[in-house]
Amino acid sequence: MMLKIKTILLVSMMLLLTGCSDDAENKQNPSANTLTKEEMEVEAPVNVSWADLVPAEYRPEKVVAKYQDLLDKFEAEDYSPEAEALYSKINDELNNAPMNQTLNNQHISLPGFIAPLTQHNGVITEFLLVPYFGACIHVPPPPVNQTVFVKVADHNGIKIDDSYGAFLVSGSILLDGKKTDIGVAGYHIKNAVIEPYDE
Amino acid sequence: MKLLKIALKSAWNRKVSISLAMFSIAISILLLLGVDTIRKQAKDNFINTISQTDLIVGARTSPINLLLYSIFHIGSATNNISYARYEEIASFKQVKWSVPISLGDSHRGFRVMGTDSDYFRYYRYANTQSLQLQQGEVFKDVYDAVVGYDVAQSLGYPLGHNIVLSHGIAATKFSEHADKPFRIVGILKKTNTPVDRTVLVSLQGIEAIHIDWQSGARSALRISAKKARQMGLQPKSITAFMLGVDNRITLFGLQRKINNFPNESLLAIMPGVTLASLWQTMGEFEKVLMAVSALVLLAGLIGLLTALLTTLNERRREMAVLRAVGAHAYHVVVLFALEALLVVMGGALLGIAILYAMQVIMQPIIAENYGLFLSIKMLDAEQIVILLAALLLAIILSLIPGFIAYKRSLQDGLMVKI
Repeated sequence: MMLKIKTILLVSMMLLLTGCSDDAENKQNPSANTLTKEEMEVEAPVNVSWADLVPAEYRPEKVVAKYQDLLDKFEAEDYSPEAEALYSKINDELNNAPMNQTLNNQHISLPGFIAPLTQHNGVITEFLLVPYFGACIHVPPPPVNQTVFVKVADHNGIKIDDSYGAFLVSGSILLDGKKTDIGVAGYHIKNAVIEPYDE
Repeated sequence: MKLLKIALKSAWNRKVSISLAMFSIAISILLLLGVDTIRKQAKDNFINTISQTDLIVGARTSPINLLLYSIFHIGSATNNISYARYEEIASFKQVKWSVPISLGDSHRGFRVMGTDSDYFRYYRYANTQSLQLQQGEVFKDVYDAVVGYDVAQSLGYPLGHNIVLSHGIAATKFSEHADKPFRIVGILKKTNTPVDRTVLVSLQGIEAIHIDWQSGARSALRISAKKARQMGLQPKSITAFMLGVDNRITLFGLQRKINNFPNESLLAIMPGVTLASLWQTMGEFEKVLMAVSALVLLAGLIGLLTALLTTLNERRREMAVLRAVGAHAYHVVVLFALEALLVVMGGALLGIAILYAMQVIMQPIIAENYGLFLSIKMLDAEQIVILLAALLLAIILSLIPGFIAYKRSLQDGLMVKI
């Protein structure tokens, strides 16, 4: 009897595990979907995760590794000016991380939080979409390639009272290629369709 | 139609109790619509006061406090920031434009704001509107002032009028900067924002009136207006500043950089984010207020039900006679529903009339005391839904006395003795 229960548990756990890994795989390969642009418009948007906004070949670990020797000199809780300067230098470099060029013009949907920029009579029409929100004082803000400027499609704005919580933003993501003094201009989505996000 | 006539005539017979019920409905509808109107207008006012400004920077305080005192002129600033720091941040590569704000003085209860001419170029309200001059021009000289629409209106100031600013923000005249009067060179058009109630002068003007106040009170060493003009008048501190950036993707980074400024405690806020969080807090109060008003309306409707139930006895004969002359049973029910409908409709109309009358009367008073500009509008879809819901509820409630009357109208109505 005991044995039987154990096997059932084992089998169900294995099922659960495979379910998880399937899901993860799907999320990791959004660009595997090779549809033309026209088809994209009709097809449902590709679900993209924030990690996909960073190019696959770009590894923040490499940036950190480059400075590892210097980093080793400081303790974790070192707030000396030298340590601060080094951290801010590394952070700047991480902040100027490149965009994922393969995403350009793709019809995607991306969940995130909203930082309102422009509103008209209480309806938010432009905002920054970020992967997390509210805990900004403990850590630096999300880097440029983890921030998306969103312009909402007509009559699809979010009321300013409802702007807390997560939203799923769908639309064509564009990579503004122009280099400004302060790095690449970043991602933006125009004519975005917004809906509340539930997991 | 005939039924309506009967209902009206029957109601007329009981006009005192009916009109009292109607009045209580009117008051509860007034309360519900009034609360709804005020909350919507307050919100419109707030969210339309600032737009297209990416960051507001001031001394470190709470984000909501910074927004309230710098833009809405509610409350007082916690501290000033140095002008040098302002210039440093304004020269950052990301920053497209910046406008300084210097507060702390007043003129007869209206706040005085020191700024520079860029304020007129970059300040935006109600989405894309910029400030327009009704008369005159923007300040150029140290002792020039531009006044908001309401300031000119309520104090009756023409162009060229000389005004004296007072130290502090109260409407009293204990400490005036009387030796350095300002000349009104421009009057702004109405904006329905706190700008209407503001006197705008240059930063140099603010500096000039405080030049001999450095000890905290007027120093014995008097410096004349003319002498002050020659003294350079480089501003040393400002209260806050607004700025716009080229690329808003980098806003978070810039905000962080300003908040972590090494030599001075600064706070940078994104107005949209702060307004949203302010509304998040206010939203809870709003819900409570709306719930209370809805309960008051419910109490009014139950009052109506009570009134209808108490008339049941006195109307026994009436119903019986109606049935005897050929009225259907359902006619009795309809009669009660019609009466309830009449009372609620009358009450709603009365409530709406009082609401608009109050808005007209209160408009200037609220603007003066709370800086809130009520614009008188038609009822919106939501408010009409509220009214329809009240009517529907009244009809449903009237079915109770209706059915009681219908059930006993024949059995006991024709008995000689009740």
